[in-house]
Amino acid sequence: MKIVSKPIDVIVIFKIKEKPIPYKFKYVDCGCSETREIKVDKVITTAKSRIAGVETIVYRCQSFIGGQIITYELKYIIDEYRWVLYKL
Amino acid sequence: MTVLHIDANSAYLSWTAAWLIENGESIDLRSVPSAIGGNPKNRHGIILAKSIPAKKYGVKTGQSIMEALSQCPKLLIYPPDYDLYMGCSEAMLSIISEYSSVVERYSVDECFLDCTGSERIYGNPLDVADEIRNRIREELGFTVNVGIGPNKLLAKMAGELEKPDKTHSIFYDEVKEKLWPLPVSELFMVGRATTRKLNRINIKTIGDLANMDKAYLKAILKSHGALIWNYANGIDDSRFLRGDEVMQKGIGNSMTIKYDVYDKKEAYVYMLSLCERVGLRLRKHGFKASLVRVRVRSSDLNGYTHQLKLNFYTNTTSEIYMYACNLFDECWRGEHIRQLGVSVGGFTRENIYQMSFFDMSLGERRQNEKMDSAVDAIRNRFGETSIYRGTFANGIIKPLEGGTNNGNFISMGGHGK
Repeated sequence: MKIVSKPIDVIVIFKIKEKPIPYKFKYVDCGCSETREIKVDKVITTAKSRIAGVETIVYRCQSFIGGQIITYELKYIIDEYRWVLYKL
Repeated sequence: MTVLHIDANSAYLSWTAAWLIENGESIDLRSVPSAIGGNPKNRHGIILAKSIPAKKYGVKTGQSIMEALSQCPKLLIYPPDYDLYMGCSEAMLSIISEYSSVVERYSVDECFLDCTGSERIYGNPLDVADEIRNRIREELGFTVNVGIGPNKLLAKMAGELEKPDKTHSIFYDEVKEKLWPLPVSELFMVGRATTRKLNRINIKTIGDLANMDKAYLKAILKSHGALIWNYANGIDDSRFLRGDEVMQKGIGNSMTIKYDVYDKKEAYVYMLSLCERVGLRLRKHGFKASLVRVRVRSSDLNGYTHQLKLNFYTNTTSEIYMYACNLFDECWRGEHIRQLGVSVGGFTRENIYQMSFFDMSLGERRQNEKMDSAVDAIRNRFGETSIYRGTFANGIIKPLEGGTNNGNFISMGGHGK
């Protein structure tokens, strides 16, 4: 996986006493410059990170895209309340 | 006593590098000629930190960006981000604080940690040092050097021995072997001027200094001579200071003007805008000052300062400005001005200060204090340029000048909201 760090729009589920769970996200695919909507099928792991002092939650996720299972990472930047497609 | 000194390697540069990598940058700034400093777009400012490959090209900290680029045309320059740096510094401090309650934050990228008596909880100090080092590298994405010693001085000197990402120790029995062979300029508190004086009396290494007669050094360098002799012998009895025990010594702002100023009235306007910034920062810190200093740098890059000790304390912009103008009048020799600076010092806390019987301007000061606090409140709520003096209306001079850090951390000189 390579770091891409692209800002994304995300629909998130908030549950009682749980970390926010990404449900669906939109991102612009640079290859074909079209907006793709991807449903997060499975969150495999979550980990808190604070590289360079920035508090984040990194989600390793899995989705079924174009006939194959793709693993990628989403990141929630806590201080800035925003999401990025972290690794792909 | 066992002291650990933790120092981030090329702090500003490695913090920026870690942040950039995390945000998709493919190049690690630490592995290419790169530097942090000023504004690379308008080629303004100085080098604040450089990478090890940049050092090989002769790029030096404090050098102007133009000079650095002439030495290394491929040099990548990034502007500083003080909020990021404070975030990194806080994160580093939070990891270090897990190992002891006695931590002294020495600067934005350096900490001292007293781990005396914690061996039974955390084990050997060398293991603690390695654990801290590894954790900072893995969790925060940058490297630190850890020095271990029986006091703060030796811990700091040990941390400087070999870089980056290393743990070193200098205990009393290792002073001779590890500290003494180093050049005397490497010793803490020995700067360029002292090195020159010491070289003149044939002191080249720290060992030469340690073996010199203390009384002789004291005769030449006064109390500083005794201090560095102690340091050369590994003697340091300074205690750990908590954050709030360290009081800031000065607040100042300066600006390099885009063109040369030779009109006194125009210089006054620049001084006023600098005083606005200095006054605002002074009040934000909750201090009053009793010393005003003016710095003038002419177009041939010669600079001089002039200062005045007041017999009262003030934090009002108008009063700082009045004294700054008087000082400017006294010292300015009529040459074209390239840079102006105003700074204040001799602080006391805002609410605790000695009043003077002979202070004739007390009433006026009270009025000005009220006005300044109202102006500060308006600026705080609606922005810095929401209210300003008529002098700056429709002019090219900004109502508040000086300072590039508009971040949130006032201890870094930030003046953001």
